[in-house]
Amino acid sequence: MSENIPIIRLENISKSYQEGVDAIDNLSLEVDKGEFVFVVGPSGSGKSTLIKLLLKEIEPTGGQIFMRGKSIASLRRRQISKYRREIGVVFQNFKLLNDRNVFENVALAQRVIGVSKWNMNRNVASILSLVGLTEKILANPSELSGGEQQRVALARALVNRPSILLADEPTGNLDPKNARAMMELLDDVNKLGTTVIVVTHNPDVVDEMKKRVIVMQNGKVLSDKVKGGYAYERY
Amino acid sequence: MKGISVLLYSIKQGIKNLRHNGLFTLASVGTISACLFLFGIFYFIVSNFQYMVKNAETSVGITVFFNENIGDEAIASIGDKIRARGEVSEVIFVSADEAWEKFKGEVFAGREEEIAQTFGDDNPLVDSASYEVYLSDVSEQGALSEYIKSIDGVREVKGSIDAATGLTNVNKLIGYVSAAIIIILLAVSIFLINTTISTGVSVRKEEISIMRLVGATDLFIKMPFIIEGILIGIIGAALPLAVLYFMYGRIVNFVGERFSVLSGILIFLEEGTVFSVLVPICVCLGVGIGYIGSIWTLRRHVRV
Ligand SMILES: Nc1ncnc2c1ncn2[C@@H]1O[C@H](COP(=O)(O)OP(=O)(O)OP(=O)(O)O)[C@@H](O)[C@H]1O
Ligand SMILES: [Mg+2]
Repeated sequence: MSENIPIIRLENISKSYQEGVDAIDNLSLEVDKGEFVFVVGPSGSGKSTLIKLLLKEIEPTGGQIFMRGKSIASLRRRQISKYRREIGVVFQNFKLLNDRNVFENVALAQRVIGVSKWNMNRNVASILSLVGLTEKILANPSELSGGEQQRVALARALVNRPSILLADEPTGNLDPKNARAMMELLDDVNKLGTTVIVVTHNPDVVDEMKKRVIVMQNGKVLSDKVKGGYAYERY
Repeated sequence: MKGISVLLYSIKQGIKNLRHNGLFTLASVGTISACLFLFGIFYFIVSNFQYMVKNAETSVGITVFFNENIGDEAIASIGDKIRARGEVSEVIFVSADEAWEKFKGEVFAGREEEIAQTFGDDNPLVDSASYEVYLSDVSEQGALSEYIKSIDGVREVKGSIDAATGLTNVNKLIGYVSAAIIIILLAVSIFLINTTISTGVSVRKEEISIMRLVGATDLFIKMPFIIEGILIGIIGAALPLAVLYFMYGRIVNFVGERFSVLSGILIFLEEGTVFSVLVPICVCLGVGIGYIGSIWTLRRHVRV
């Protein structure tokens, strides 16, 4: 029964930052548990806004978002914290803290959920080795390249083993080789059962990976194909 | 387990905040210290004053003289009436002979022979038998005097009423002045803690918003700041307490030597008695100021 309920369902979602301008315009979509979804579309089409809505960082101006069939609109402050613990996010601008090293940046996510020190050390070390940053563990984010910072952000998003991973342009600063490696990493995470939603501008990986692709334009879904390609430019 | 690691982290962060905002921390600790130091000094004065007044009260009494040739029975019945009053703690009869002996001893000490020659066996204070009445509460003295005066057979009532009410009034005045100063300093401390914590919050705005987005609860975010406030309060209480403890014995000795004439009145409270009250009060005040200051600030500043 619960297997049939989509893990995420958006129902006629709208979001306007200013009166009359819709960043998201009456958008409905469903994502099933364990899916891997690309979200593509031109700049300003509402991709980051969609991510923010899913994290409940901002509130929709219309419509409802359901997580496992339950509306997230009426969650109380405490429940919002719980809800966010199920979601790992790689933010478009990373949101790393430059006053502490890589380890502490990733550990922050574990501290927030009250993991014991011993488990935290183990989890952080293993996730940093997964993203290939073991050697940079004591470096400050400001001393890292853009691609390395992106991987720190990914490590922080993954360290709590979320059931949903939202990644906003995780390959934006990577060369083709590293971009491919990053996507393979996300694919691995997905194979372990995490639902993954990736916003990207990288046509090569999208075409190559043959995943579901949602194309957005002007806050609407332009196309949604199960094994799609990076096609919005043609429209 | 979970709670402990969160608490330890919060304490670490709290200490980090303290050092980060060095100057504000110093200002807050300083004001709380000043506040509690003054509180301590006033407490020394008020508590010792009260103690001395209490002691003095047992020696300050009313002397009651009778009409001439009143007779022993009448004197006894006056005594009963006085004893029946609730505020009276003790009534002592001093006969004319005892009064004369005491007078001779006090006034003509060393000239006993001279006195014996002059007065022989006569008692010049023949009508000076009296009751010495002691009260459990000095402030009742006026009312009691009035009552005793109204009893038949009483010629005169002598009391040290002015001295007694004077003592109580001075004590009250010190209490009011100290309360006013302490309230002002309390307000300043809370204001400074507010500034300290809000600076800390604005410095860590980015961190707070990230913590929110990765699922931190309000409590987790606020805890380091609350602990910071409480630590400021504890340090702000410990410093003046240490200084006051160091000072107390010295002050007592100094005042005792300087006013050795008054050694009969200047009986000070024991160090242990004073500090067994002062330490818990100061620590509670310090922690309370820190806690209230930080909670109040967080309520207004931490909303993401
Ligand atoms: N905080 C904000 N205040 C006002 N307008 C905003 C805000 N954030 C986004 N917008 C507007 O909403 C629209 C969608 O923005 P969004 O960031 O979702 O685009 P995007 O698809 O992520 O673009 P990009 O590919 O460049 O990251 C844009 O027109 C943008 O100007
Ligand atoms: Mg974006």
